[in-house]
Amino acid sequence: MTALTEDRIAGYIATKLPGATNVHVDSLSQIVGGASRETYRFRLAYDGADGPVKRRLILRRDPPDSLIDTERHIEFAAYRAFYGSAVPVPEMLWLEQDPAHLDYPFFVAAEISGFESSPMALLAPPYSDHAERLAERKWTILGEIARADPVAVGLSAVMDSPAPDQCWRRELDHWEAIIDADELEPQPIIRAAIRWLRAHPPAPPKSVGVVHGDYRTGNFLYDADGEIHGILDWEMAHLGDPLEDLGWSLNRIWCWGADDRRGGLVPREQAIAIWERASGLKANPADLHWWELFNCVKGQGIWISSAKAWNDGANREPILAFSAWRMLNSTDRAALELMGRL
Amino acid sequence: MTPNPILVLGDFAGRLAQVLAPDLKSAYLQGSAGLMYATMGMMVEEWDRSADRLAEENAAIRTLFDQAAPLAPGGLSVRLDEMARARDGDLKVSTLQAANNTLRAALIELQAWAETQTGSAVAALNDGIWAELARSTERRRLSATPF
Repeated sequence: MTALTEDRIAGYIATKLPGATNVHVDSLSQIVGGASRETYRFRLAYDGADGPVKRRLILRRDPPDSLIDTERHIEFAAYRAFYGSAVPVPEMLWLEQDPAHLDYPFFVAAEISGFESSPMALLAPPYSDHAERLAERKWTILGEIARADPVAVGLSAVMDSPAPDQCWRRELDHWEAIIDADELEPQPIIRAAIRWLRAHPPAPPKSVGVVHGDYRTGNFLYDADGEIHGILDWEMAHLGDPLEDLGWSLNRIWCWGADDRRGGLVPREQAIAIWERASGLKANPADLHWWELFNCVKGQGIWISSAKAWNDGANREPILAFSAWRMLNSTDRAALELMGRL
Repeated sequence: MTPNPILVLGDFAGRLAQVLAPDLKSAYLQGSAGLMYATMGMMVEEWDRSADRLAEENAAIRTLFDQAAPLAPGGLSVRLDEMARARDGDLKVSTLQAANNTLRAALIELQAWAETQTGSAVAALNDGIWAELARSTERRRLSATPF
């Protein structure tokens, strides 16, 4: 593998812009924290048919091993499905599956720049002054995702569509298998949660919808006026029960230690009310409880996998060790709370 | 060990974040240094307590197994009884962790069995298991964790 350079990226982009001349890339820098893909930002400049063009772009490249193993074409398609809709996402430009170009598959997108994404920043002024507004936007946008028709937005063509009564089983099977394969030490709390979930399945959704898969504070771009400008990190997007996303967004681990305001923003019931109004769906309490507990299993699957990848040496990015240490016990505690045992 | 390992690790972590990181040439490297600092901070917290918490937890699970052995069926009962009477070979963290893994794997098996049973004795046992699992998260809790 050779280094990822500005010249290599420019060479690739030149093949995608046949009418362009003087294709130039500079200011290439990697963004820290990309746990599932290596993420880089850079500036592109070229001479087009209508004159000089300058753009700030993002390149997301598969790593050797990742915190979340996913298909980049699914992520690319999910972004593209919502571009220009009420769900703000960056514009997707090129998807490249051939590793010959930059060593691993990757995609290139427009950068949405100038906004904050840190959960910790959100908990302090000036952003915390607009927590109510941010919450309104956050769960309204999630409601828009929930009400999207997978066929109409083109995602049923690239994502498997489970039968409504199999949504829960497919997700639970998937994440339990990951825990089975990757756990480095026994997980009695999450195993108890899995047994409970299998014994008490939720009602099927009225219809299968788009699930972002990682919809939480930390995965959107916001400003100091309480507006959200970009929903990011669609690498776990799939079709399923919309309550899955709501449950993940409500998880106690995403309160970030402040108090029990969900996402660090508003009380749980307020978040649910916003989502119900925006989605046109009802969050049946028993079903939502199932999906909230399931998301603890999913969270443990992610942290356990990251611990395994780091431990095996497959990926020694600090974020993997940090995430595992920081989140495993918190997720166990979230599961205990949901099971009434904390 | 002198200087105190906790002081050394904490100081090195602080220097990594506050002295070395600003001189790194990219935001990515600075961010990585920040993550290493935060991770080392968790190590500082864990260093002093890890043997104690593992020994305490192993003893607590063995007490549960002593209570469960007369209730559990055949083969499980025999294994629980053996594990209840075993003791940690030494106080190295690796030894204690290996025993902890064995004990917690058996605890999963025991609880899965207990959930299928009726009767007050097994219900009390299951409540005891849950109480121990809750205590285990308190033992493992780190000040920097989100919940």
